[in-house]
Amino acid sequence: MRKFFSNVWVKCISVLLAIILVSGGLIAILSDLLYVSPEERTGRALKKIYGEEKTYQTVLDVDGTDEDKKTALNYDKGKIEKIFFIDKENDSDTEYDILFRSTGNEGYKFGTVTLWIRVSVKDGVSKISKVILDSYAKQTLMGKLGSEYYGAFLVDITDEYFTADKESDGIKNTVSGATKSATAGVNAVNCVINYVNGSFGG
Amino acid sequence: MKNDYKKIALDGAIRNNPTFKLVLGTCPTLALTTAAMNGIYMGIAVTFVLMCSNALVSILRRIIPKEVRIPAFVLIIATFVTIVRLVLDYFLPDLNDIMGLYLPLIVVNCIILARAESFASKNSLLPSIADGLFNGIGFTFALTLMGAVREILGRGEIFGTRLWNFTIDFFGTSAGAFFTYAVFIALFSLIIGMVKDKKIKAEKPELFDLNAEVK
Repeated sequence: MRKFFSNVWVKCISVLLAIILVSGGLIAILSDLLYVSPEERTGRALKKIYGEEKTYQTVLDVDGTDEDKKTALNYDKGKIEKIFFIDKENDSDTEYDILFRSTGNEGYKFGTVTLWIRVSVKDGVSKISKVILDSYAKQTLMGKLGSEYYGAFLVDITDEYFTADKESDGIKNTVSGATKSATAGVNAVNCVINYVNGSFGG
Repeated sequence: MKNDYKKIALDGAIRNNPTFKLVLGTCPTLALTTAAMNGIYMGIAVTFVLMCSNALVSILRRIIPKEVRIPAFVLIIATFVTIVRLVLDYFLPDLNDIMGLYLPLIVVNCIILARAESFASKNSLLPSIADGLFNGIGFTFALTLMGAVREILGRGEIFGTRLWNFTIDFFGTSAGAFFTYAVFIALFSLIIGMVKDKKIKAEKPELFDLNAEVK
């Protein structure tokens, strides 16, 4: 028995198992302590957009499982995964405030760009009032899309769509050197325009 | 003792700078240095993991059999990287998003494994922590410097503040990263070489005296 335990391979496996058990236990405890729920993540995004915590009604909230993801609003070049109606406050000068999380396709290396897009409705006119980046996949030049790029989306919503292609009609919004990533961002915004036009008629 | 720490500090941060001298950890160096701030964030994360993994490897150096030292080091490093990820995601989610894929990739960062293998597994606790700290400082310094140059030339900004509208797009690309890295490695070698020559000149002037008689 003693000979067995003094074997170098038994020692090796025991040490590795001990490290795995201790680190696994530590990570399990920390994961539990530092868990961020989907609601908290949404709350963080709202705080980033409005600068304060907001209450909201959920219209669409696709998160987590693949089955759940099938319920997203899919368009040709992107999809909308979250829609929140922000509760109106007394001092608010808008009729509605709607927040979308939309993902645009056709980015660099067929990657995606996901944006939070705030649409404010006042006197029957819908306006994109804020656009911020949520996340992206495979885009290496996202740093090139600065405030100028996101700021160009802040217009009244009509039947006109954004385009990153300089030759096309529509509202042009592109960034030289990062045209593919800019295209994915434009597609994300166009999904929202599509939804707003379909639901509110612009 | 004091001299030992001075040597550890100079070796880690300057003489054997992991980025410019040993050319280790090139993946985040090339990918993340589009802005100076990214370099600082990545540097702090790597420094934390370096210090913690060096400390634990040093404590366990007599327990870990040499046959499984590399898997054991990787397990230890992976644990600390996971802790950094969890903490960042909870407290600084924006920073976690910026670092993206390159944060988990710290696990396979050659600098950390190299320091665990070549220093921490052979030295006691405090020198190992100091080694981790100064190598981390050297790495942070290198990434921040490269990030600053690429941000200024590629975007006309520094730490997000616009300096001018003149930009050279090349510096924002992967090719620009390689070019900047190469220039820094060359400059670093040149400066270190000059300092060494000066030191030798001061200590042994006869080696540089062309008129000296050959004995």
